[in-house]
Amino acid sequence: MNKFVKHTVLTILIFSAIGCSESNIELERNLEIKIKEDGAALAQLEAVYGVVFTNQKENWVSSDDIYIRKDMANVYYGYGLEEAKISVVDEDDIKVLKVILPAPKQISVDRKTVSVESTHEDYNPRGPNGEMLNVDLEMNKKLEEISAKYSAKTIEMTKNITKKYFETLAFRFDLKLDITFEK
Amino acid sequence: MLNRIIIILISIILLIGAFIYLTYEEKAITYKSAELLEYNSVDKLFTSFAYVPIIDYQRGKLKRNLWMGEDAVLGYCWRQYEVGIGYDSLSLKIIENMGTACDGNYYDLPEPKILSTNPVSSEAFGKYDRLKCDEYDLDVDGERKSHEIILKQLKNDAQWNRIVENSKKTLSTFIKIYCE
Repeated sequence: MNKFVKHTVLTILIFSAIGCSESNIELERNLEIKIKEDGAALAQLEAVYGVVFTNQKENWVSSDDIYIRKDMANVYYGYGLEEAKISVVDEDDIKVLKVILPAPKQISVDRKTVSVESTHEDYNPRGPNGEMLNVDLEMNKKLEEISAKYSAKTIEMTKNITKKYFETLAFRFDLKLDITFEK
Repeated sequence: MLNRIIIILISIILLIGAFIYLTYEEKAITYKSAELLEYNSVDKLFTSFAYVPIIDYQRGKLKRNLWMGEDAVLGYCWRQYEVGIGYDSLSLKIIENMGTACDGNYYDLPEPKILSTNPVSSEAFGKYDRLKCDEYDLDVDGERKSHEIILKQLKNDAQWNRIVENSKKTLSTFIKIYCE
């Protein structure tokens, strides 16, 4: 009789174990579908950078020359959601949503001129040695400086939004969250 | 013999019970209407960042054309701002038209706001008064004038609409967590 009871209990335990891991797998699948469908907007963040180039020249007789050009650049940061690794595991009787994401990075830049003002219409911006300047080149240089300065901040913003999303998702499905961004 | 039958019956009942327990699924909580449970308020959700130049020109007549001709640029004030844009005091409960987000429509969601502005540099040149440049966005009557000026600039530069679109998309992604 004892053997029979033991076998029954063991069978029940085995069924319970299989049942638990099956429900984790199903939850994982549901979450993956949801994230890939709905989370696409989070995989991309757009930053707007205004780039200004100024050039001046003093004149004795006529008015001083002032040249100002303003461009707006849209820089996209993001990561591919298809590279995200999502799993649901049991840790000390608590279900944990484990998320591993690739590091966000700059994807593309789109720059265009918004305004150009010049005191005299025929003025050409010149450098310190009197050489004619390539204004587009100067704008690109400035944009690179601005991008470099703010990319860390914008990438951090992208990570924060993504983290908040997964926190909300974990809360909704009664899970604890464990999220990592790969370097 | 009777004992064995009882034990077998009990085992069968236990197995059936285990089977029911394992296969019963709690229906996931779904929300399609605007009434959601208040879960936790997010203080601020930054959805966009902008590095915005505000340029004000001092125009006047050129030296050689004092009596005629159009006003030319004789000076400028250039102020540069770091701008954080998004949603504040966000509690999903108070957002209207959330149900439409579940259908993939984010147009009815609220517009984001300018949450923070940080002036990082300013330059006055030519005939533009330095003091006037410094006081350009001075708050009047407690109103955040810089927010107003920057919003106007982003609209003029055709940037505000795309910022709004991206922010609404991001917000709808959060709302969709609670959709079926």
